[in-house]
This record gives sequence, C-alpha cells and structure tokens, in this order.
Amino acid sequence: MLAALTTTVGCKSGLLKAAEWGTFRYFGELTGVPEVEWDEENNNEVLLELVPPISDRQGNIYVLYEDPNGDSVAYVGTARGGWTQGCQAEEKELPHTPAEATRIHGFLGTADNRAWLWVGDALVEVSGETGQCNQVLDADPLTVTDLKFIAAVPYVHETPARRTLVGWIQGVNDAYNRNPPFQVVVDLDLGRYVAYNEFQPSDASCIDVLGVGANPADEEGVIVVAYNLDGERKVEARIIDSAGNNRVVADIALEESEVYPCEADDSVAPEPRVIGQIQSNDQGIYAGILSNGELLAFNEKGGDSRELPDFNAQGLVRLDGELWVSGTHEDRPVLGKVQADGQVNEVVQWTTSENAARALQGKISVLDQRYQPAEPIAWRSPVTAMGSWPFISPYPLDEYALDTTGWLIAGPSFDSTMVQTAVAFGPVGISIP
Amino acid sequence: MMRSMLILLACLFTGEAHAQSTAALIRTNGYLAPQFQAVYRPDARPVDQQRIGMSGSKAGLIFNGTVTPQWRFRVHSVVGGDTINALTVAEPVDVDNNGTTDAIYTKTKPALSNMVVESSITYAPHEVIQFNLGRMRIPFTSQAQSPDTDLMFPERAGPNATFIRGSDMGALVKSNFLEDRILASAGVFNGISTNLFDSQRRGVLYTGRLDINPLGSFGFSETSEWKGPFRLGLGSGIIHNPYTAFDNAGYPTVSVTDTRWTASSRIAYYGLYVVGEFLMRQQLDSMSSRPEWATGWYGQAGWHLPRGLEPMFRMGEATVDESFDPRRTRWIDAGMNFYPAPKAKRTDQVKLTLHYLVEERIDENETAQGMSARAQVMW
Repeated sequence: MLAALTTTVGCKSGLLKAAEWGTFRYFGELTGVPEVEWDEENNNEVLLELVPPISDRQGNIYVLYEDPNGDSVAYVGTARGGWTQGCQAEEKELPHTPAEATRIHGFLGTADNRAWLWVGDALVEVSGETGQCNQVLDADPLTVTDLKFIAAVPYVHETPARRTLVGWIQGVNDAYNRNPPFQVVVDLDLGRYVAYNEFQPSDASCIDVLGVGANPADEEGVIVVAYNLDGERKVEARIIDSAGNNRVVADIALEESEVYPCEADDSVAPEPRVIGQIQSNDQGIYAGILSNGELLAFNEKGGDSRELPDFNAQGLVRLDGELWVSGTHEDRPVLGKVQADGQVNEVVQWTTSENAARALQGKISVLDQRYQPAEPIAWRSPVTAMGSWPFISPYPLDEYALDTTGWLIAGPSFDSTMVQTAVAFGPVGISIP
Repeated sequence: MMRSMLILLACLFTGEAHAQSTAALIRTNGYLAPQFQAVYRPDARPVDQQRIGMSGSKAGLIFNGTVTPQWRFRVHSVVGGDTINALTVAEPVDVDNNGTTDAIYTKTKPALSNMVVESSITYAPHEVIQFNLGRMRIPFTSQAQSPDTDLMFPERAGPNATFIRGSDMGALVKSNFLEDRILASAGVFNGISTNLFDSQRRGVLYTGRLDINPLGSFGFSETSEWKGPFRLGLGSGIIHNPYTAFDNAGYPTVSVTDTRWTASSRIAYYGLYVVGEFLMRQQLDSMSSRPEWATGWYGQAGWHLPRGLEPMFRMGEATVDESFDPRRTRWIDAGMNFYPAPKAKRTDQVKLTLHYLVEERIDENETAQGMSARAQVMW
C-alpha cells in the first residue's frame, strides 16, 4: 500500500483537461435567458446578466448576478458543497450611467474566504463563510457623507497583515456634478481608507471614468479617465500602484473624444466606455473592449483605440502571460493575440471553446445543491449561461486551478411572470486555442 | 496551573499506584525553557510591527513509567506551548443607534490549546517490535521524531510545521531490525494534526515511515556531542488521510483524500549534524476538480564543537496552493547553541540558544525578522 501511495503522490494529478468539465453544481433559478437563446423581441425574456464566477483560496465560489430590477445578487458555493440563498448588495446606480449599461462592474478580487465586487456605486464584501454581503466604506466615517465608488481597481493587494484596494470615491453631489474624486487606498479589513490623494489636476471638470483594470502580476491597477481641462478634452490611463500612487499617467487617443458641457442632466460623455474590465499581458500591454466594438490598447507610453480584424470582438482572455481578444467569426469562437504594439493581426479558431460547448450536448449529470442533502439530477443539453460561447467574456476569467476556470451553464427554463432559468457552476479546463 | 497539573499527575501515577500495591517504576524528568523574543514586521499593522518580550517560553514535565518490561507508559505535558486567542467577549455594537448591528466588539485572551503532547501506552513483546497507543507525535518526518528537547533550534523547521504539527490520537506499531539499522513504523490516527480546516468529517489517517541507518544506530537527537563515528540515515514517510466531509444536516458532501510524502537524509560526524528533507502534499476531492498541491524542503546543519559551542544554520521553503495560486514562504535561521555544563550527565542538560530568523513571504512581498535568546534546563 505504501509503495502504491508513494507512486501516486509523486505524480501531481487531479486537474481537468482542456474543454473537460468537472462536477456541475446547480445553485439557483435566475430570471433571464442565456444570450444564446435570448429572443430580444419576446417581452417575457430578459437577458441573463452574469459575469464569470470567481473562487477564493479556500475554494468557495462566488457568482454575481443582476436581476431584472437592476439589483445585484451574490451567491456563494462553499468549498465543501452547498450554496447560499443569495445576498443583495443594496447598491445604488452611479449617476450618468448609460441606460443600456448594467450595474455590475465585476469582481475585484478575493482573499482566504472573502470576495469583493463593485456594483453600481458600491464596493461590496461577500463572506465565503456566511454568504453575507456588506458594503465597504458606504459612508465617510467622519462626516457620514454617503460615498460613491466611481472607480474601483480590480486588484486586492494581500499581505499577511492586511488586504487593500485602490478606488475613487466621491460624495453624492460631487459624483452627480462629475467633480474631481479622491483616490483612496481602502483597508478592506477595517472598512475605511488609510491613504488618499486629491485628483489632479484639481481644476478638471466633467470627469468620466471609462474603464478599470489591473495587472496583478505587477501589483498595479489602471483607471482610464476622460476630463475637460482648459478647453480641451483629455483621456488618460492612470496606472496606480498598490499604495495608491500614480505610477504612470499615459495619454490615450480616442477619435470620439471632444470637450462637452456636462452640466445638463442628460449629458453623456462622448467617449466609448470599456465593457467589462481592462486586462494586461506580461509585456505591460493593457487592453479592453470598447462599447463601439473597437479595442482600447495602451502601455506606459500611451495608446489608442483601433479596429479589429474582421470578427465580432466580445471578450478578452489572459493565459500564460499572453492576452487574447475573443469573439466570433461566422458564429464560431475565435481568438486574436494582442501583440506587443497592441495590434491584433489575425484570429484563429478557438477549438477549446467549441469543444467545451460540444461537451454539454446530451444528458448531463448535475449536482443539485440548492438544498441539503445535494442530489444528482440530469439536464438535457445545457448551454453557456454567459456570452455566445464558453470562455468568451469581457471580464477576467478566474484561475480556478492550473489551466482551469469556472463557468456557468444554463439548464432548463420555465415561464413564470418572466422566464426563469436553472443555472449551475462548473469548473472547466481551458487552453489556447 | 502548573502546580495543579503536577499534583494531579503525581496522584495519578504515584499515589494511586502505591495505594493499590500495583506500583510502577516511574522516572520523572522535565525541562524549563524561558525565552526572550524580539520580532520586527515592518509591513504589518502598527500594533504588530514590533513585539519584544518573554514569549514562547515552555515548561515540560515527562513521566516515563514501566509497569513490566513489556508494558510502559509515557506522559509529556507542556505549559506555555501552543496558545490560541480564545474569544471571551462578543457584543453587538449599534454605532448609529438605528437598531442594526454595525460591528461586533470582541475580546480575546490567550489560552492553552493543547497541553498534553504525549500520553501513550507501549507494549513491547519483543525487542524488535513495540505497539504504542494514545496521544503521540506522528513519526511522519525526520524532525517529528526528534524529542522537543533535542531539537537544534528552539522550534522545528517552518516547512515541517506546514505539513504536520502537534500530536494526535492513534495507534502505532514500531519495529527495529539489525540493531537500529532499519526502523519502520505504521499506524492509524484521528488526523487532527494535519492542519486541515475545521469541518465535520469522518475518516482515518494512515501513516508509515521507514528509516535506514546502514552504518549503525542513529538516533533523532539533533544535538549530538563531539563523539561518534560517521553516521548516515535515509528515511521516507507517508500519510494518507481519506475522509468524508458532512454538511450541517449530517449528510455527506464530498470525499477527500489527503496524501503527504516526505524523504529525508541525515549525517552525523563528530558533533556535525546535517539533515535535509523534502515534503510534498496532494489533496483531491470528489467534487471540486481543484487539487491542492504543496511542496517544501529544508536543510539544517549544526556543529557541536568540543568547547560546548554549536554554530547552526537552517534554510527552508514551502509552497502551498501550487495548483491554483502558489504562495511561497522562505525561512532562514542562524544561531548558536552554548552548552555551559559539560560535566552534567548529559552535555545538553543546560543549553543556551541565540537564534535569528527571517521569514519571507515571497509572493506577498513581506518579510519579518526575529531573534530569540533561550535558556533550557533539563533534569
């Protein structure tokens, strides 16, 4: 027995192969229809608003969903089985949010048994132990002013002593008037900011956050911002270290950018916004998908937006230090590598995504963990609950395990007041292409 | 507490034994090890950045009893060993008086977590085999077999503690062939010393260890004296802990297998003692498709010189969660032992230790440094 065990443990094992799914964990019925089955003209159907799930160090799974009322709900799947009923983040909408945009800005990171997310105007902590949601720094501790996070960097700086995150906060009136915010380092354990800087230049006006992102490998985040100054409209990428200092401010050239009067209630920034989050590769190139379908790419020296080759860009994926733009071409998943100059020259077929979708065909065993004890049930040919194909999302994919991410699948749906769909979490092996 | 413990133990093992006329031969020994520590963590919260004072001190009492040559027992208790911060007060706080709890006010106090290090019965029907039953240290690694008082440094290596710490309840069979040249052990334990997070679980921990000392008997004391010929020891150990986790309703949720493996090599030569060990862990379960891998190693050397001085050095590294988010920690220890009582029955009955330690959390970019001065007296 000892010899057999010694041989076994000598070889590390237990990982999924590319496009191979692990155990599906059914956690709830959500209002909405997955993108691949959505009929935009059917009034009973709304799009299922989900982002790729994330996992913490203990193995708890976090799912973020926006219900048809615009409220965000977080579900937690505990490491040893079972799910919470879902907690509401109780956020409010950020002023001047475009009507078509969701309140979900995405997950910001995790620690041992907690996850943080940014929804609407709120930074929210979700407990992996209890499934409880708590807003962090909802009000200024001294003045009790209601605070709004107009930007939160999706990188949690974790040390044995503390967990911190960089964000931009404002009072309600300042947010409404698009005044300069404060750049703060939030101590996530204490729930208060431990360092802050005023936005510079302080006489900037009409400040609009276009997107946020991070490069966790370099322990830095980025906020892309546009503002009026001295009769000009400037767009910048501010690369910020974990201590809340602007390490680099890089100019961004956007064709649509021009000075606009933001005093009117319904005024809208002329620049396209980043969908999802900005991501980076090991060469220091940051990229994000813009709402006009173009790719925003920059590094410390600056950048611009550029059109992509002939495909429908829908997401980004970072794997092995490389960054790829994902999307579809002739309704099949494709990938294009972001080069050192920020260009995407050619795309290749993403066979792993196709194979993962193909693996869902037929009778699929799902562990129903909505109640205890969990029971296995069968779903007939579930589909991806997010995006047009597995792995295609403008939000970062979780590194659930080596070459493995977490994804959500949609099972049977039924018509209530609105169409409800059964949703399950499943780990799945990922590779390029 | 120490006094009451002594009285209790004395009653148990001497008074009662005489009253029943079933006396056992009991040899009592123990140790006192007061320690001064200074720790500097520049990146920690201000309250934790500097800690200076008496800390990590220990007092141990060991009873070795012989009922018959085949039946023996051993009780080793320690005071001031592992402490935990026990919650003593928890009150809800409503800061804005709106009827909802905004914070929880808590108070903690240090409490002993595990006072009994060992309490075991030994049955040795033959000189080559013995059976142990009770609480004892699992002989998984080379260092786990070294008695607490015979360690070179005040504590075992960081990687060793990452993979196993403390003692456990179980049964162990030990065998000894060719005059200590081949030592083998196998046993079953409850599995409480493997640092698994607390959950409702049911399972048995199996362990096995083989040590080969081809040149003759080679004990596990790390403070060998200036004597003896060259000794070589090779060893390997394994822990296999399959268990089932249960939900709050008492139904099974997931089956887990936790397997740990180690290989060690030791040499000793005229006071020089060198040991190196490699450790590995893999945990798999039936649900997550997320294995947990960890590896670690350490090497340490000390040279017990004729005048009672022993310079020593140790380095080790452990990487946990390798399969999803590796987190590496490196330890570097250096120090000097001084044995000022060479005429005592055992040279190391009085040991003074100066110890410097660096703990580097590589992936978290945080470094802590510490030094300690310790005096250990054994009787």
